[in-house]
Amino acid sequence: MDFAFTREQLMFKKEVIKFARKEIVPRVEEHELAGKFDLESFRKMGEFGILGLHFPEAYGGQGADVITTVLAGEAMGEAGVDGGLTLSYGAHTFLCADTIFAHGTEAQRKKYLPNLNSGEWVGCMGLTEPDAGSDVASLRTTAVKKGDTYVLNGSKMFITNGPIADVALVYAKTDPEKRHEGISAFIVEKGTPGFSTGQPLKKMGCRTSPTSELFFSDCVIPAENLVGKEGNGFLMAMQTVEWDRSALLAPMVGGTKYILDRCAEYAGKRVQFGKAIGQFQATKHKLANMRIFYESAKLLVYRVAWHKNQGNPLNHLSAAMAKLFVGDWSLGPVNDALLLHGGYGYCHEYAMECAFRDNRLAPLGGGTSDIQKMIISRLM
Amino acid sequence: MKYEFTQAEKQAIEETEKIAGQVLADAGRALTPEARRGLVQALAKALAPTGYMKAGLCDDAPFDAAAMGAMIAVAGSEPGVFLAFETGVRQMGRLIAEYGNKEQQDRFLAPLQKGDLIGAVALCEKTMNVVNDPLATQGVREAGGVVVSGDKGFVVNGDAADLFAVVGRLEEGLGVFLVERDAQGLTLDPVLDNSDYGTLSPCRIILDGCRVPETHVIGPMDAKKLLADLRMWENQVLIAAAVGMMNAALFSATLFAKTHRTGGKPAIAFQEVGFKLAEMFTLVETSQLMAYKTGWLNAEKDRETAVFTDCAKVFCTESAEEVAGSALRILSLEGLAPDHPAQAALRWAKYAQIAGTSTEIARMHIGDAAL
Repeated sequence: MDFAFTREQLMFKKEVIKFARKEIVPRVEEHELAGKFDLESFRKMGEFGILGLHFPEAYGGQGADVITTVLAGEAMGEAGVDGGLTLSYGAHTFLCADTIFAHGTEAQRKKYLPNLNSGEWVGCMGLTEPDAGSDVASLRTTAVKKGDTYVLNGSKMFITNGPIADVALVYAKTDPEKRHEGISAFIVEKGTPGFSTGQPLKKMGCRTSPTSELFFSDCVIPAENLVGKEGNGFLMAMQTVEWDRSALLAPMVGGTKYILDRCAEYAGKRVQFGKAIGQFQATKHKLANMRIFYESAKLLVYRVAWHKNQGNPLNHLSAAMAKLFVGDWSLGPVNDALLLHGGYGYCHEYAMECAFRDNRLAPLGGGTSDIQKMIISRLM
Repeated sequence: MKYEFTQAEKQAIEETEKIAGQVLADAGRALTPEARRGLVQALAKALAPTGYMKAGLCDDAPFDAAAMGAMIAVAGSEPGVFLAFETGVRQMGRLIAEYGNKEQQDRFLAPLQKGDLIGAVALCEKTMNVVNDPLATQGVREAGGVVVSGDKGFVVNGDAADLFAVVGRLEEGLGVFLVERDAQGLTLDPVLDNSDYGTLSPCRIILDGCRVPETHVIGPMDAKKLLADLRMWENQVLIAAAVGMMNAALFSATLFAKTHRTGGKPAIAFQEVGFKLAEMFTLVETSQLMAYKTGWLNAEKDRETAVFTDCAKVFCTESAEEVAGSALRILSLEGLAPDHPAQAALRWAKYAQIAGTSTEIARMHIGDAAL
């Protein structure tokens, strides 16, 4: 067993933290208050290379390994980048672009990946529907083949980056009689007649990540926009799980380090009853709980990343455990962070209430904690 | 980065588990001090041919992730016996390996590793504060040796031990006095021997002008480092015990849930049961990783070893209580049987939280490290 990162990985992490603190973090508060996507920071992430980190250079990527890619996400969280921007980045890179890379034709890769990786285009992934959340196989959006086109009809719900996406990776039934095996994946470009988006949803947290419905009303797309084979859509969606359970969770792990550092700083300065509150045992207890969660969550997330890096078959058990643990057990530390700051924690100026709201998505999004428990118990 | 053991390490762990399982199969019947001593000795002798007895005691056998894996495998069979056993092997052994001179290492480590010598570490005193400072036990140098007086309240494996590593004040620092069981001036008084914690073979030891030859004295040395090492080594043993007992509790609950039918289907088919098992399994797996990383950091001599060990100690021992509690809810009355791993895990989880660095103090250390 070896839990070490390489020297190069650690140096890269430092660089990402430096970049994020300089270019992104100063803009977080303003965008969070306005509930606005920070396109400028997103494009800077593209320029820096984060958006396309693990893609080959031929498609505008950096050719990084999985561990380094996940580490970049952790670094952004540790730097103080908010949950909204990292969520948008995750959906863009790992749920949209990566599926095109992994399953698309060479023509699709060349057409879409360079602009997605640079941040010129924003990607989204449309899977969830108003009546198909955890039970995704019951989705109803259809894609009917007509000559050399597909015609899409239906709608999607809670789509991260929906309102701003230039490219949508959409899952639809090419065979409505079947469940999982009837799902296929398609690329739908913004501006395609029959494709529209709803108003951005007003959410509790991750406000800088715009979310909306997607609507398809006799939306005609070229047949060449099918990604992979008909009927393989569900498998493709499930293959994003490894990224979802590592790269998308990593910012939350890093974010815990961020709030731990902020809490330690605050506890060292805030004086009550004649001494810094960090001297009170109750405060140390809270700091300890944050540290313990950080250390344990990190192990689970990097276990998933390591196995993916090795090219091992997806270990559904490890992936589900990582999601369940980060989802459910992260709520305690963010709550403690808010309480430690007292009244200031309740105000926007300190990042604690934002972290508290953002983290609330963790047990819900990308597969609820209850679904993870179902997966784990079935595999036991 | 590597999140798996080598084939050789996996085989060594499996072999250790098999040997320990065979020796400890009837551990529940060892009710007398003699029987418990016999069990600790039998375990040591059975494991002597493997590398298990060397981990952390010599340079070519570091205490690492694989050693932790092997300890977890042993602990699952019988946590109490494991804790008593490891007091002698890992705690006293590492103390001599780290701080003893060559003569002491040659004299004591080989018989310890072969199972010919059973050890115990005597540290805790009634009047001590939670960071073991100050100790009242004192050694005074006289011609050819040290005269030791003191009272150690709870010595794990004391009732079985041949040799006690007694920690006390010596000159300007701390010393370790290796006191043989039949030494004059040493009195043993068993404690808790009729309780559920009797398998620890605990006793109180009173030293009244007990003369220890110079060959059996280690120190004086820096108090802070010695005490920190002793606590960390004990914590590492407790972490292994916690994970071992969790594995046993989870296994028994899962087996029950899959085989016990109610309402026409196995209990695991009910969400309430299945979800509990899922949470338990997640805690067990996470604890296991924390334990392995504790071992790995120790072998790397990483500066974060101490604080991470504290993190793992809190996480693993508190998870052990949660897992054991959930296991009992699944097992219902079956889990309350005297030798059942689930109720044993609940008992030993509480011990593991209290012993070594208590979870409350561990949190203070972790909080201080953050500040």
